[in-house]
Amino acid sequence: MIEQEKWIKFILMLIACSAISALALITFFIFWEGLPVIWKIGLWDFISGLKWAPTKGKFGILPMIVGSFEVTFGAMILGVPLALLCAIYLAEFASPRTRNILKPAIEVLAGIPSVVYGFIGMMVIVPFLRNTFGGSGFSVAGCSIVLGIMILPTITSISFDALMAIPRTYREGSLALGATPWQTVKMVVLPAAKSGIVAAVILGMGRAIGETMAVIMIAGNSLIIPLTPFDPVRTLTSNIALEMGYATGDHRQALFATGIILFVVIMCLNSLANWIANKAVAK
Amino acid sequence: MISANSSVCVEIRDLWVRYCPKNRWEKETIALNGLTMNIMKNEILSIIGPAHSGKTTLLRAINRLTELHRNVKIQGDILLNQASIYDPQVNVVELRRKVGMVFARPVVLPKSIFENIAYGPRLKGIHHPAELEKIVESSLQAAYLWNEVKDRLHQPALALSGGQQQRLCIARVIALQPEIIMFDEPTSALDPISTGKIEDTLHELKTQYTIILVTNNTKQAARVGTQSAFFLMGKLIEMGSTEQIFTRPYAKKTEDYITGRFG
Repeated sequence: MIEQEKWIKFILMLIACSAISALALITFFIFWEGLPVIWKIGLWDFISGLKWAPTKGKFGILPMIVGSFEVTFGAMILGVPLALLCAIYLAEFASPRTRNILKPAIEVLAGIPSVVYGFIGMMVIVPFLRNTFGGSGFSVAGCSIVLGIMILPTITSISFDALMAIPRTYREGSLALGATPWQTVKMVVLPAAKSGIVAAVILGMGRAIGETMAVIMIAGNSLIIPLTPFDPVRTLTSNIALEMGYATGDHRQALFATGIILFVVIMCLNSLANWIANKAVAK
Repeated sequence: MISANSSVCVEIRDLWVRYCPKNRWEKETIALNGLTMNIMKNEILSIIGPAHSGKTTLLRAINRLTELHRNVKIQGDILLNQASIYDPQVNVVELRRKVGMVFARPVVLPKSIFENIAYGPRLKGIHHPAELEKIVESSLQAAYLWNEVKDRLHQPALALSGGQQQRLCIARVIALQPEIIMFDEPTSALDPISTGKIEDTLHELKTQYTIILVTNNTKQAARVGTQSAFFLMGKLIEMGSTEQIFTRPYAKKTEDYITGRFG
């Protein structure tokens, strides 16, 4: 009996380790493929270079770094308030019947393939931007709008869970002290759910920065630093996806190096998220 | 039963509270079954009775927390100082400031001790720091907590012990300067020493506030209450001075409950 337990424990441990080893392999592989070219060009020249011209041996990814951040930032500005207010309405104010209709509807958004978002963006948002603000319409703003919608279900459902985890007694205690429902949400429920909400926002951010297909279809993919929201943009992810098909040699390695930068950025974001969440708990 | 020098504070007139079923096949629960009673000013009314006799529902009806349940139906009326609290003109927020409530399990908000007490006054619109400090100090003193916490007002309130948390909740209610303070089994989660401290506080508070104390502990009702009421199945069986209820109850059921034959 005890012998059998030991085996089960061992097998479960192996399975758990295989999941982690996948992460380790991915990390190892992209660094293995990408690091040589970073050594060759120099890290600083690689991330601060303005020119990306693989045929001429120029590999500078600053426009794409800036592009990725701009697109993500725009998506957060549009998506986070919308998603949070959605979660607050669902958790605090909606009747059970409304909630049972709205919550699955928002979750369906997460199941729509990203190419469909890209398609809608191309057919609806890009022409709208072109007609309203001029330019081609393929732009940072278009990407941000589409990504803002794409991150909505992630942020809404995780913050909804965080809000629902706050004990009902907090709300009643606050109401019994003469707070209105909105004051209760603002001063008691939201602060208590802060760490969960921060985690939700960071996960949404990770999704926005990593999204590729929808962005390729809407971004315009020009190799410039976008100065206005209506300029075309190329992100780190779309750079990899667009060129991987035909890249060889240094070019191919430079794409892996782009992956390294993306990887590091996302790792930093996650660590930041954990740090903020822990700080909120310690308080 | 009504002594000459006290006046009616809360008047409950034929109050019915029903929890309607969510599904058709479930039965409706009647929590309060045609309750009529008067609660006098500056008395401690202790309400005793077995579980599910409607004691807590009554408290939650008086500050209208019952409305948080979607499937609750209320009939009858409650008058606070001769004015109906179910009048559409009544501001629920104002009502809840006048009728404070302390729950069975201390509801400490995840803030500092100071912020917990200042929460209510701030919502009322008091923002001046000196004024808030004064309110916090006097409320904590009224709840006999000041000496224990005066050096750590800005530390998290969740770090206090259970008994201290409950006294913090009492201080928080006092900070609102209510007319009535309702206690819903305030010592059910506490040790005997903390219980003693809270009972002492109740005696002190009586001079300024009308107090309704719901308790499962009949001895506590006998110790603390000036008036007592016995509830059973959503009905008021008997109400009178504590001395009378505990020494010569009129109803057989009251006697049975107090002497521990059921419940």
